[in-house]
Amino acid sequence: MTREKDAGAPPEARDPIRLHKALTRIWGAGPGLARLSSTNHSVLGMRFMITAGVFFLIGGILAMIIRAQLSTPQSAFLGAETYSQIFTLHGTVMMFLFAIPMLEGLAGYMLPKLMGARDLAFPRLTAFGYWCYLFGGSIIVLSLLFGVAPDSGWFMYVPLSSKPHSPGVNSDVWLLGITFVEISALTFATTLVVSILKIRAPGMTLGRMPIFAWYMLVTSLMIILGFPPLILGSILLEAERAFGLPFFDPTRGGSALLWQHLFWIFGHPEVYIIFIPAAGVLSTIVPVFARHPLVGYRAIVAALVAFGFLSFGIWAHHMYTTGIPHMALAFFSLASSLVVVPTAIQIFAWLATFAHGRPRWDVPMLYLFGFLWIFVMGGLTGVMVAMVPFDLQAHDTHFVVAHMHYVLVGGFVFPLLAGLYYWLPLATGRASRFTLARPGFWLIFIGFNLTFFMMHLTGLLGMPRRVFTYPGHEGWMWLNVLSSIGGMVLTMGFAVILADLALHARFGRRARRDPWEGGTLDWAIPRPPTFYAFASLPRIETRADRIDPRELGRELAAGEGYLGDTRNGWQETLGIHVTTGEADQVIIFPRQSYEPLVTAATVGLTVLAMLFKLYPVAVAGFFVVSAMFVFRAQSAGLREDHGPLPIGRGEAVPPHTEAESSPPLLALVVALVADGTILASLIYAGFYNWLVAANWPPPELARGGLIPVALAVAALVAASGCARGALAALGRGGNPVPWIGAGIFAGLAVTGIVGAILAGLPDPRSHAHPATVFMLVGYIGLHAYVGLLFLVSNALRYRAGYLSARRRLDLRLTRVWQDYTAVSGIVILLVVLALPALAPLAEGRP
Amino acid sequence: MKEQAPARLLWMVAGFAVWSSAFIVLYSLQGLGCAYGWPDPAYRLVLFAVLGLHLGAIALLFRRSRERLASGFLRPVVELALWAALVATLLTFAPALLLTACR
Repeated sequence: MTREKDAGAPPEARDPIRLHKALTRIWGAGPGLARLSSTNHSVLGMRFMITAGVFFLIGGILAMIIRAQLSTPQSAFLGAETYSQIFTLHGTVMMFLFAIPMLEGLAGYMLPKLMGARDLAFPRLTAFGYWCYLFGGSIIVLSLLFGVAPDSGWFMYVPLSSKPHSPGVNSDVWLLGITFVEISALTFATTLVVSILKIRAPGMTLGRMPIFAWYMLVTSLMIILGFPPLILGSILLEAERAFGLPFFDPTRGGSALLWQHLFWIFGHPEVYIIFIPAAGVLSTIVPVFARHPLVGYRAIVAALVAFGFLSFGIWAHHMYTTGIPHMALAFFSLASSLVVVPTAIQIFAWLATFAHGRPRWDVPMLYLFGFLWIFVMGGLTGVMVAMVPFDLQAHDTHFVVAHMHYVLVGGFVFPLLAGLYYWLPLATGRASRFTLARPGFWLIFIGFNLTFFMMHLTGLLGMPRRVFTYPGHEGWMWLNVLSSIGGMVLTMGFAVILADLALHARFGRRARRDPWEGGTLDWAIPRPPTFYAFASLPRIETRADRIDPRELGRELAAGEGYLGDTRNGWQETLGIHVTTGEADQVIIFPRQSYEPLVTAATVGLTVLAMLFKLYPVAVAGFFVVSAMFVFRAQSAGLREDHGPLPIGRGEAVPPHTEAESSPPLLALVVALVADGTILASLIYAGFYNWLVAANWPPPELARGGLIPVALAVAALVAASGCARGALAALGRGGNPVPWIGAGIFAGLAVTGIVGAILAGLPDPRSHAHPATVFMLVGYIGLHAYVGLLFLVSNALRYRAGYLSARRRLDLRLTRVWQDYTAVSGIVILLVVLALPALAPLAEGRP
Repeated sequence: MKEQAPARLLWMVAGFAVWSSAFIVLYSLQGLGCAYGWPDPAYRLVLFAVLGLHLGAIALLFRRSRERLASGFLRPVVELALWAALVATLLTFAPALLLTACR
């Protein structure tokens, strides 16, 4: 181990310039194409935001085409087919390719800087997620050029999106492309949860965290729980379209409404997933412009928890017209009304902060005003559509389109623009001129209200959404003309903002440190941010929005904080105990690499192979990607035991490879929560069809068989036991390979037994019951296969010297995986045994 | 014992986890009862009993949280979240259980 230049030097002798150069050598991304290998949070965060901005422009152009078409009755501008593709793509692009990635990019860019860290927990995973997003988004958008864009609406209702009614690849593009993109959302959410809980500046307890971190923690957990139902729904619908497994086909025991449930269990929290980070931006900005610390910090945190849960209990308020009984409708209606309360708590906290402070007016405040005006209007129409009798009248009309845009544009775009103008001096290092920001705001504000307020009226006059034209005698025409004019004004507003950004980048003066007197850690770093963000890491003794960034920034740049030296060329940051906030490990990041790009490209090719029905190629791609993950793991970690490493301030902590609570362990637990949600959704789907769908019981029951099930349980338990044995052996300083070998044998046995059970099932295309059992048992097989990958990686890494009695992280990860596989497998096998017993009861339904 | 382990963060979501459980169980029982035509008075009583159990669980969480959590940041946040969960559980389900179950 070597400590470079500044080792041992007294603090006053440290040279900030030399430290900067040393850190830049370690953390910097190469020039030109070498940038493609970057795994740095600033580079990737900015890349996410710029890519999302490009998709926003594409979505905006599509919106303008829609408004051009609807501005006059019986317009010949677009045909019905093209119009369907354009409105579907507009919604899809804005929801999946703009809003979510934009908030991910913002969070990825800002969180380490706000929390006093040098990077996010998993830089390569973040890079992999970015490439998945870019490739998946490109597949979806480029499909429009080939005339095969999705055309069943952004929520892809069956049976419209099912094979008989959408025989082309349009729906497949959506299902496969969106699932590909959602890999990015899940990897990013996992990274954020672990980063927020484990990678903060020492001393930053939970109660001292910047409020934005709380918002992003709740949002990320909502993504972890909210996206899996849609991923499962997409897999099931694609399996139905491609292979005929009838989960949504009522003629074979499926249910079209099942898709709506799976979609909206994701879709409604999605609205809050978009809004909550934007509210987090406002909670960061409001205290700065109010010149008073945020009022009600604890109440806001509690409100966020309430928000996170209540938003999941609302999904069926999109389904009021589907015939759900009054009692169940009331659950959803009451929860929809209750969710207003946490929103109101936040808004009142901002108002109280202003009331207690000495507010000052500047451009970000202008956009805050725009948010309040528009979002409150959207909230009020939200209360209207939460009421069942009103919603029955307004459902599927332009009133709902207006409400949705008031909530999403008001709740996301305006706060985003406020945040953009607030953090622009940090990101570019240039002071804001704001020459065009004010006219840009008014154009957007007036244009938006003109466009969408009119839609309330056309909706109340009965204009359905998604019609490509109208006869013209209904009294809708002038409202539509005004709406389209508003759309033009709105577009001009965004063009003015773009021009303002270009002028800022070209002519802005150099920004001074902390130009807004912000009081948060992000203003203590160099502007524009360096790759390493903090030359040394601060110790936080107060709430993280009450520090003095100017003084602290100078101290940190001089290396007077933690990790103020470089060591072994390592990219280091500190990990802390989740609740006490004390440093408990040095996290050593892997270096920049092209592997995330190559892996994501291979996944992309696999998706394309599935799209073009080249299934052997897709299967080959699956195995290649598996091998890549195993291969990638071979260079991670350390080959020596280091024990406690000095981190400055007289403290020493072990590297993460030797720590008890290493970030990958927490990440695996978070990932398994998402995984478990997929399984729960699949079990729900099975029981839902049993309870609700027509054509039950099935002609032939799918029985797993007691003996194969008992053998499978024994093999699962054995695999889990072997993982524990290997861990114990390594902990004693022994050789874990015999246990690993036994684990591989048990894993192979599980896959063999699962294969035998699958082979003995009735044709899964015959009915939803065998199709569900097929997927459930397949789930066990897939997990056993991934367990084998873990074990092979463990054996290779043990041979290569990455594992020791102290460095047991790999085997601990394997144990957690194998335990989950065993528990979930046993639950599944019990369900598989229970379903044939329950299926005949469906005959007793009235 | 006053817990310091990271797992004590789970206290923040405990109340609403009970709310979620009430949602899942009541919605499932409502679906099952309607599908199989369970007789109304008994059926409704079961639903109210389930609601009562969940309210009781939140009350229990109040008591345990005071025993387990030291004063500081988490305790008041947990108490606020528990109050919110209690009110949400009562308001989301109690009025709804008085309505027509299967139409």
